[in-house]
Amino acid sequence: MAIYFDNSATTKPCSNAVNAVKMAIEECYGNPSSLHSLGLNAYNELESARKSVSNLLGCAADNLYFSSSGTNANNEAIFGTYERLKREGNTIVTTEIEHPSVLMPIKKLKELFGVNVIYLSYDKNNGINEDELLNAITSDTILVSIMHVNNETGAILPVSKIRAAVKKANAPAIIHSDCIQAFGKLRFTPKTLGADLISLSSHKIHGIKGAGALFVKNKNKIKPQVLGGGQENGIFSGTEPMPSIMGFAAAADCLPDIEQTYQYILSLKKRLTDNLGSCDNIVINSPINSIPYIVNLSILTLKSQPIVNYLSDKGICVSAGSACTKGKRSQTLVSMSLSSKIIDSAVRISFSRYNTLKEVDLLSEELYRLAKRI
Amino acid sequence: MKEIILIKYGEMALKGLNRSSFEAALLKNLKSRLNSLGDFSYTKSQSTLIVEPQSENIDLNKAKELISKVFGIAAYAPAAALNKDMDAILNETPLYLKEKLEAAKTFKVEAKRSDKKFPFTSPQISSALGGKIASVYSHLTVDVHNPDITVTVEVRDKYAFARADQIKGAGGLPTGTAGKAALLVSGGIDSPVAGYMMAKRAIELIAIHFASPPYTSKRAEQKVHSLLMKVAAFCGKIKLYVVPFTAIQEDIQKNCPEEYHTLIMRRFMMKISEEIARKNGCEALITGESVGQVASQTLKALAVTDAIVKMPVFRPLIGLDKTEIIKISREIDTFDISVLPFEDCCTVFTPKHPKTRPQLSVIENIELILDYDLLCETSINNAEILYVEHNGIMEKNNG
Repeated sequence: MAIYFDNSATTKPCSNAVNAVKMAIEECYGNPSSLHSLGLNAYNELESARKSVSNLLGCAADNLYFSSSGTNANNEAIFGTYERLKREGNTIVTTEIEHPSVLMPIKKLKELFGVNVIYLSYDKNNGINEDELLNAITSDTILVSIMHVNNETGAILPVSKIRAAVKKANAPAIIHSDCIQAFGKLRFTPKTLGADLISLSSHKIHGIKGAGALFVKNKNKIKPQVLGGGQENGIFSGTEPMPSIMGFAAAADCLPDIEQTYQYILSLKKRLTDNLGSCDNIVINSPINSIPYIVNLSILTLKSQPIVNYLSDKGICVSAGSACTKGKRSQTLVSMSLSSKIIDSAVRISFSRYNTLKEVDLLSEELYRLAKRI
Repeated sequence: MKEIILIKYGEMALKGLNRSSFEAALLKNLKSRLNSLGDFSYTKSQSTLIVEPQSENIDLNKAKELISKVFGIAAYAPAAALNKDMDAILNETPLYLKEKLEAAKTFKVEAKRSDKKFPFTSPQISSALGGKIASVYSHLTVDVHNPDITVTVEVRDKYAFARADQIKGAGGLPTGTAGKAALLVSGGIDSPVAGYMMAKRAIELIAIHFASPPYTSKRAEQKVHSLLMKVAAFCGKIKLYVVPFTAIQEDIQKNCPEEYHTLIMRRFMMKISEEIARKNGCEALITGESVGQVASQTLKALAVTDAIVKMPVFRPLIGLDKTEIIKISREIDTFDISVLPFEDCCTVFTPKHPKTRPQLSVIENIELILDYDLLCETSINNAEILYVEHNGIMEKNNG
């Protein structure tokens, strides 16, 4: 059995989620839009799933729309907001360390429509500069999109500070936060974040791939980008992927207490950093203000892929940078102004509640051995 | 209506007394490729080869695709095999070429009568068929200089063949008629192109790939398999040696100055490849190097790499720009595979400032620290052997 430390790429589905999928496939296979009994059955399951996930997020079920992935939710948030608000202003504020599913849509808006994009920089020691954030938002700003937790380093970003800045500038801006890596790991609600749009993903919380969700505070502020049968209140047309959605809900329902799990994961991270503390060739890249779930580190004598391959050979799964940008130099680490040597040798270790201290010891042992090998 | 494929020889049609050996090689290569689809008969007729499916359920489109990649073929054309009488030619040709004729605006007809006993002359066939086509497809006009489509009728021994324009073949000479050579393949853009180019000039290929597990992954190896499958579509089955290289690389890392790592590694690769090549009856090595592309490909560096082997080393890309190499890699469909981001043994350890003007004597001195022969021998003895064909991989474990 592999030791799995790549939980930011995807997590092992919990058994409740697996059972829910089985149920969805075998029994609840109707189309939620159909009028007959099987359709009604599926519809009830869909609405019950909406309650489960919105419950975990701390919002009304009516404000949560299921998408087919986190990427899909991010794309809708950005393109949908732009289309609705393009007459109110022409500036989008984001950060250099967003996920590609945020950076690429914004880049496309810049290329196609000449949208003015302000990229906030991320400093390894101080994070996002709040003055810079305040100055970036003006009355021309229509969208601020800032992730809650960075997928490569675990860095926590000050999403809750945006609302005041938007108010101060009297900007028409919608606030979007990609919370895919934060959901189920940090305690927050749309209210505490002050966000209008929040993207989530199922398979990062031990759910199933194929489902994501977008919290939408005011449906009139975004325009659907995929047109069709009008499912999900028109925001995400397309027959709902019921197995994935029901798996998502089951995973949300059985998620253990957030604070308790956080403390447990913190103990795993502490063990790892304690174990590796004495090794000169290993540096930790994750900033101080980051969640313990993600530890980005470099073994300076080797490149990322050889480290990943070596560990894989020992039955340990970690990731080179992030699994979504294989082969390219990490934009996040570049913007953190790390040296090219550190960036090229960075790997990401990401924990879940299923990991044990013993596994962490095995990982540390192999990392230590590898760092001393060459 | 029976459909066959006419194959026109390329350069080998110009060969003199040894032409038959080229023909035999082409036939062998064709058969090995087409056998997977079913039975065909092959009939030679001047510089044309007639490939006739022996059953009706053979997929001729697949056959065309396979034929388009066999070296030694200048052009090929699917054709209707018609009875040798004028009625059949006049009635069935417009029917057989219906789609193409409907899509064209202008046409002309050419007739070739190699069977001189056929009672109509070529001009007579052309004019009758031209008239018939014009009457069936009234939108078409005749243009003898620059027609959209040229309808050709070839009256030969057994059949009259009706066809549209020929399709350009892969060119070159039949693989295997000019000896055998060993291709060093990493997984990048260049080496598959180099292999393709040599195979086009009739060279039979074996391939050698160096793997450095656990630093390189199985995915890097699978990438090489996929690349060689694309090359095998052109040159037929390739014997692949996957040579373990980790111990050598670690030894170099530990014992040699960093700026020489790549060059010493390259020399090991050449030495090991030469040995494997010799075992397999190869007469040369092939690499994908191009002058100046990276530090190990300066003239001085190439000279240092070559100095360790006696066999000639062919580098068909030596004078090409990267854009020219990429163009070919797209043509042979290897580019998208080559750019998959898996580190291979060449990139696992790369020095920061590699030597671009190395001196052979310095390198030879450094190498004295290493147990050269033992390292090479161990690697060769532990090599894994696979056979790569266009449609899959076969394993064989007897290093």
